[in-house]
Amino acid sequence: MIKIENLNYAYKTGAKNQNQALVDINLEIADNSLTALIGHTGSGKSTLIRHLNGLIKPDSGKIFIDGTEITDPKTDLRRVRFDVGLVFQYPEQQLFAETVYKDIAFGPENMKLGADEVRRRVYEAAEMVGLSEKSLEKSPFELSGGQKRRAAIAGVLAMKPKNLIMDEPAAGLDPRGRDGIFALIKRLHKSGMTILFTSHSMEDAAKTAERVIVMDKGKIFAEGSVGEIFARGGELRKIGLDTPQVTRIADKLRDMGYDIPPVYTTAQMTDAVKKIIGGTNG
Amino acid sequence: MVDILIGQYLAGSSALHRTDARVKIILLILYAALLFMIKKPLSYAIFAAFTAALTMTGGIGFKTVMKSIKPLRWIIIFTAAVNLFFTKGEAFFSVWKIAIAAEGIDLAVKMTVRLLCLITASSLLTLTTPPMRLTDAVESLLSPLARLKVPVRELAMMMSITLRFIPVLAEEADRIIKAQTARGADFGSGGIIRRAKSLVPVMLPLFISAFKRAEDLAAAMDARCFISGAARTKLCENRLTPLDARAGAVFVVFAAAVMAAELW
Amino acid sequence: MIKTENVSFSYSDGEQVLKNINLAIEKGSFAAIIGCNGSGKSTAAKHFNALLLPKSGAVYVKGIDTRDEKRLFEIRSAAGMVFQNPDNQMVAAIVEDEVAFAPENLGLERNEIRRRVDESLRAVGMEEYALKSSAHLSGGQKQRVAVAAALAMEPECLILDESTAMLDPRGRAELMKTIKKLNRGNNLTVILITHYMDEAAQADRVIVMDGGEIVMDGTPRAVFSDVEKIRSLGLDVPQAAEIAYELGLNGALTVDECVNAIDGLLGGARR
Repeated sequence: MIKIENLNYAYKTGAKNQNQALVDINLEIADNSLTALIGHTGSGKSTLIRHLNGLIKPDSGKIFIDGTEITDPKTDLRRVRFDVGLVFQYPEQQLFAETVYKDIAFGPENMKLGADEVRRRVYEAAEMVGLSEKSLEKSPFELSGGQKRRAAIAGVLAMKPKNLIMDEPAAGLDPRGRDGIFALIKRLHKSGMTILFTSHSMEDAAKTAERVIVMDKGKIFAEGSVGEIFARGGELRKIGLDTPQVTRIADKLRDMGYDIPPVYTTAQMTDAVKKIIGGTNG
Repeated sequence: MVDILIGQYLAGSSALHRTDARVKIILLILYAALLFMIKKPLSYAIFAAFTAALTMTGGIGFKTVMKSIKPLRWIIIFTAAVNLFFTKGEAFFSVWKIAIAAEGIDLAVKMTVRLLCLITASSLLTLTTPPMRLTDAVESLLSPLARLKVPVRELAMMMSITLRFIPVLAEEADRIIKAQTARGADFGSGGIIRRAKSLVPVMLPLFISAFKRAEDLAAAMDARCFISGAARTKLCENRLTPLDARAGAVFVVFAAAVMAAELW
Repeated sequence: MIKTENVSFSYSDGEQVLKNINLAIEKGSFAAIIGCNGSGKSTAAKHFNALLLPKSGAVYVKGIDTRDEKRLFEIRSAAGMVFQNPDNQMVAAIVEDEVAFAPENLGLERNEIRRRVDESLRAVGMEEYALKSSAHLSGGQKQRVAVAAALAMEPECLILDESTAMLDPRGRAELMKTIKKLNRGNNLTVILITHYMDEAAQADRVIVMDGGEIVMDGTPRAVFSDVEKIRSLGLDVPQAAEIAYELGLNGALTVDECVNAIDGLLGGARR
């Protein structure tokens, strides 16, 4: 479980723009949950997730990972990083080794695991993200864009973290690549991982996550199940987030007097409409 | 977050901002030459005061100056220490086995003031001059070399692009370091070879990214009709104004004061 | 405005990226090109301003063959291009220097450069930022500056090569608003290459590429109503079109159209 208590953080860039990046954040991420962290560029979401494995230290407040306070100076942050895997935005830009295999092995090797264990983990991680054994011997730079991203994610998965945090995992991918990444996230979640991912897109959150946290101007703006959050479409639009078309369609129909429950996927929408048709016929 | 000031420009409209970039470059060179000729404490005081006055004229805050000094602090401390401990002379006082000469203190202080003045003055040039004006000025000052077939225009363009990409690449480096740290990379321990090896996961992605950026930039320049070596016109040509004459006069007065202090 | 005749292209490793592309983009139109990664859409775009030359076939910009090296400036000035990464395409640190870059390369007079810089910045609503450092702008603002930098060549056509891909929703909306205004108000031809179906839906024409070929070409309404085909190409349709399709209400493309279609379907079954 990830627990954040009264976290504050300001960027240190001279006196001129002392913009508080994070203001009084309190959060709990339950074990084996799948959470989307939504907000604009500059809303503080990337800063927040970099706190979760000690890459940034807060000005005040505490962070606990499975009961260990990682904000305690005595905590061994390297150990924390093996429990909290962090996949950066455009992670393929960090690939560096001659082969995909060696790149994925980088994390486990840093953990000082035995050669057999490293090997086992590399194969396991590659299988999880859907990379063939043949591609493991290729240079990472020979892979396609989507494959590169998968290889980079495998590099983090090979450390077998209990918690996986991903910054804009689908950024820059085409629709097929996006679907692939979100299918992977769902698979990892099913296998028992705790997953938190950031996104600009309410649509991605609606399709993938169980819970949604909305950030605005360094604060938690809203938090709840996907259904609860999308029921507040108007508020979200006010802070400039674009709600998916389906939510807007449902809102408009409701305003016209139709009995449409809060929906956030196209399948729910068509079901709702079909139910009304069924109701009038029967 | 990285915060690098090298080659950064702070928009403004002070007299220092409006002075022709070529004039500023020439005066900076003279300033540096003069700075390394002086010996008397009074001259150093005049230099420090003049530099402070320039900083205020440019509307540059103390914090900003400190930021440009900070990355070079180790060089300053090292230089001061070398002068302090290795200057021979009569022991002024001694701690344990280390004797410190009066000459050492004198030299250490002077070297520190010298470096601080020089760093501040050079930062003032880049802080108050838009990079394009700066490159235009360099191009203009070096133009006699073009006759010797030195590709001055290309060099100036390279300089301006380098300045433009320093902050971008610094931020990128910071991001890659963080990302590899998240994968358990350890940059701080081990011998020199181990440390050098531990930099590969940072340097390689950084190079690849720099090449990618260079390729993108080349396409973006091509798309806007850039042809290497072709004559270009300029939106703002560096042109001398009465202000530049006044800047020159101020400098002459300052130089005269320093000389007087030296000869006194 | 831009015409391609049987254009084929392959990189030196022999892989064929474009196969026999025939396309005519009309002056003043707003065309979107969509397709998966590797479908050849960006390669096609780079042919429209002679950044790439066809291996066989020909591309004409304003009737000029792009292989005509002597008229390169005319071709590139006529078809301005904005790229994907806002940081990588900026030459200068100051906004107005960035916009001045192209007219400086064209060797224009100083007064003319000034006029073009001011007008271009005004056209994208960035005139207040003329003397600002581009490093402090948001992604959307940077891309608007990049649009202005292309406009300073006074092009007839603007090509946006995945220029919205790295922006957040706010930045994307900002850029879309700007290019739609330029298309409607200034009669600028716009070619938008994008991964986002909701952006493509705002164009007059959607061209779908797959495997280096044009596989669909028509109005957004026509293209996005063929939901099965779009999906088989690994693409999406806007949610409004998807809902309409699932309910057997073809032809709805926007939120309002979808709402009206559902209203029609449900008749008076209101609460």
